[in-house]
Amino acid sequence: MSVDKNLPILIVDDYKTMLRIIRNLLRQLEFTNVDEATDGSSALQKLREKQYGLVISDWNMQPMTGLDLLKAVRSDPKLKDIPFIMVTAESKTENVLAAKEAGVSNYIVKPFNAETLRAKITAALGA
Amino acid sequence: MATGSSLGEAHIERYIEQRFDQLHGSPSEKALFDTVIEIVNAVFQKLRERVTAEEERIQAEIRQLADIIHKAKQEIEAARPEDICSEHLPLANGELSAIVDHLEEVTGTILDSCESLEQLGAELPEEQRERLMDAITRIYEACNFHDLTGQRITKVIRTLQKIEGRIDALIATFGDPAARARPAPKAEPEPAPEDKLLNGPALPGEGTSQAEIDALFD
Repeated sequence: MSVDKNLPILIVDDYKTMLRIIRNLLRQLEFTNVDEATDGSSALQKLREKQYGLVISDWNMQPMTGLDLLKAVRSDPKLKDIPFIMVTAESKTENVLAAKEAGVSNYIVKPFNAETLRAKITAALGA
Repeated sequence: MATGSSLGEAHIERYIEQRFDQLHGSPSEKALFDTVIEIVNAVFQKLRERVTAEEERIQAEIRQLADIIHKAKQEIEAARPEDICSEHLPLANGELSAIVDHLEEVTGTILDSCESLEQLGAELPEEQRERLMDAITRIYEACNFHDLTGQRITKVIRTLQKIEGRIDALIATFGDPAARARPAPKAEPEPAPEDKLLNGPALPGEGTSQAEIDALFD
């Protein structure tokens, strides 16, 4: 089963340059239907306004961290099933376990490459 | 009749004498009473000697402690902690922030160039386009450095801020009266449990690899 390359994807990171890097890597992987948010609150707003097929989020953001965003998504009946990938520099096991407990679909530690991004997206979408 | 030298001792002597008078009165018993008083006085004398030696020892230790504190205060003042907070730390923070800003600018330039090359690549034959896109992808991947470097520098800045807080506390304790007059820096609140997960990039050799993370999901 192949992945729908037109899938609406929301990427969330407070570093605009990082958003640009992820968007460009997604384009290399032929995902072009990409929206951006620079913080958890605006990401949640966008998720409630448009149907997304995937969220890719950083963890270390303020005031709403990526973990807070994940928990908010998972506790919203309309959003709870959206695949959610954490892309972060937080690499301790307790971080991964906390994200897993909160319902993360997959976890990518920075620095990462395009192939890892592709593999984790495929796994998160169950393809 | 021997007499005590302190109010407490005189009080005890009078009490013993009154009690003896109440109970007895003969000359031989008076002599016994004097002997008892002598013994009591000798005991008090011994106690006074012991207390004096102990007091002297304690005083000597207190003097020694005062000397150590005074010397520490002088050494701290010689290190000029006020300069550290007013000059050196702000300078360090400024330089680090400038590095972050410069990295942002440089990375933006690299991304601009890569995006231009992507557009040019669309005009190339397929094989050459693929090779170009591979190279551009490697550049995008390498640009991860910008985010990680920024986070590491942010950690350093936070550490410097903590050091500044500790030095402020030292100045308040040992430094000039004006510094002591400033309110003491508030104790850092205990971080919330989830804030303890905000550590940023790990040092080489620490942290968990992508393969180890993937194993947690299997």
